Amino acid sequence: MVEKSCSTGFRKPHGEKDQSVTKPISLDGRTGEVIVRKSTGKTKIRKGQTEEEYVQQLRHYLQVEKGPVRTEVGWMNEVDPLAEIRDGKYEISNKHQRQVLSGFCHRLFYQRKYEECLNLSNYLLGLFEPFNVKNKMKRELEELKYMIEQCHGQVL
Amino acid sequence: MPTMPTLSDDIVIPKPKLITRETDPLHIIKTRQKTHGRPVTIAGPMVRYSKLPFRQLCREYDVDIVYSPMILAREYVRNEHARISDFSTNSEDTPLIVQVGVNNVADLLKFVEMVAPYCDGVGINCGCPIKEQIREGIGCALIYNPGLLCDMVRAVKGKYGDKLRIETKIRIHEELNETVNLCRELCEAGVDWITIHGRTRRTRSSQPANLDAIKYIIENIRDKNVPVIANGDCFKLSDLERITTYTGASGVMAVRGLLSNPALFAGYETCPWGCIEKFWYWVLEFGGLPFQLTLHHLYCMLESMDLRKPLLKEMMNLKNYISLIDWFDKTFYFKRFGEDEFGKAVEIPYKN
Repeated sequence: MVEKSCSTGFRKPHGEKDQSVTKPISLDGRTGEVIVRKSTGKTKIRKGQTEEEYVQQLRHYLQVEKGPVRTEVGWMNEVDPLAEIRDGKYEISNKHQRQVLSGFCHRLFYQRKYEECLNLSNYLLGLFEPFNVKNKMKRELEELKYMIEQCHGQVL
Repeated sequence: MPTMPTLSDDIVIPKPKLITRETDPLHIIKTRQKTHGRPVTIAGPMVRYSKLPFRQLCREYDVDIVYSPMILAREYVRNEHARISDFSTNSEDTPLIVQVGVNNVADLLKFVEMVAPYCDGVGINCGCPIKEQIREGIGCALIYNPGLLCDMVRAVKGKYGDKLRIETKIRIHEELNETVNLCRELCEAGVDWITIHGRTRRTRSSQPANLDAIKYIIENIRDKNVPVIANGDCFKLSDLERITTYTGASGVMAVRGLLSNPALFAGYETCPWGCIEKFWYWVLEFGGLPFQLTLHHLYCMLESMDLRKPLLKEMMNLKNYISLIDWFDKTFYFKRFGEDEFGKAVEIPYKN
């Protein structure tokens, strides 16, 4: 029974179960394995991460990813997206990477560089279309088509 | 970049970013009054919205310290895709506090090891009231688990000492002496400063923040000499002085206020048009911000400027960046970076 003067956060006013607070129970302090509570009130185990698994992530983070994504002012001026695509730097099936590529087009359109934007968006449309499984990329493709149309209007 | 001893033969872990007077958040908090004649101004963490373009925007308008959105340590240390979508930065992104959602010491130490070389401090989120996080023992669940929270602070300070700043952002308890006790324990554990949101985990944001509570807590931990930042209901520049004078806090963290008006600390009562133009520039310069996030930012800013309601509605029906740029060009005199008067207008420059 919780004392009235002490707000532990474990009280259940009005009998609402989501008012309770979880104190995770540590199963393994070295790996971070803990037990937490689900919305149903049942418990579930959040698996820990072994030292080996962490080292593997760390190696990838530092050596492949080179730390967090860094986008300096003007970074898009320093790279040629077409050359990078040809070099296999982008995984087109990955939505985030497609967004990065579309970002080059958005910036060109904003800068009113319509001819460059037209060339790149045409190229991206051809590149993206084969990956449109179950029409999941509908919005992205529609945007590229709209961009091509708008650029045409500006270039002509 | 200086390096720490190797973890295994082929991995060299970078050291935490070097603390300098210009970028040390604790130094800034302690000296802003003396150097700038005002308390420190802080942009708090917002789920989804405190991304790099918005952080840069806030810095242009007299925000001293900026937070990242809460990043879940568990995901960050285990998943490459989470890392890529959760955190991007650059050399101008400073002073930066990376906020973490975490429920155990092991994940926190790994997370800190990964982000410390790229930020100026780490903040533990003890204020998020979302029930999904609370169930995991994350966010404001931590204020009901002081033992674990202090263990986490102690573990980070034990490993890094003064080479890394650590902050905790808490909500208040229903019983204020519990918050006082928690803060005293945090101070003993070595926390560098504490941010107090003047609401309990059940207080709605429509109810006013409890400044009396913040004042009471500050008065009762004054002997610890740890700065306290007040959070809640800062919507205009005059609130900075009002809140700090009333509570005795070293500064103010604004969150919702900045979302609507990133220029509030520069003295603008509502968002100036130039701020919108600058936001566009940062978004497209850095790239990668999902369209819906950009749209929401623009909605918040334009709504605070009393943009005509039908236009606001029209904007929210747009589906992509290109149609949005077109719509801006059609509706306003929309300056690009590099053009005369870019970022300077205050009023909305309607075309019709």
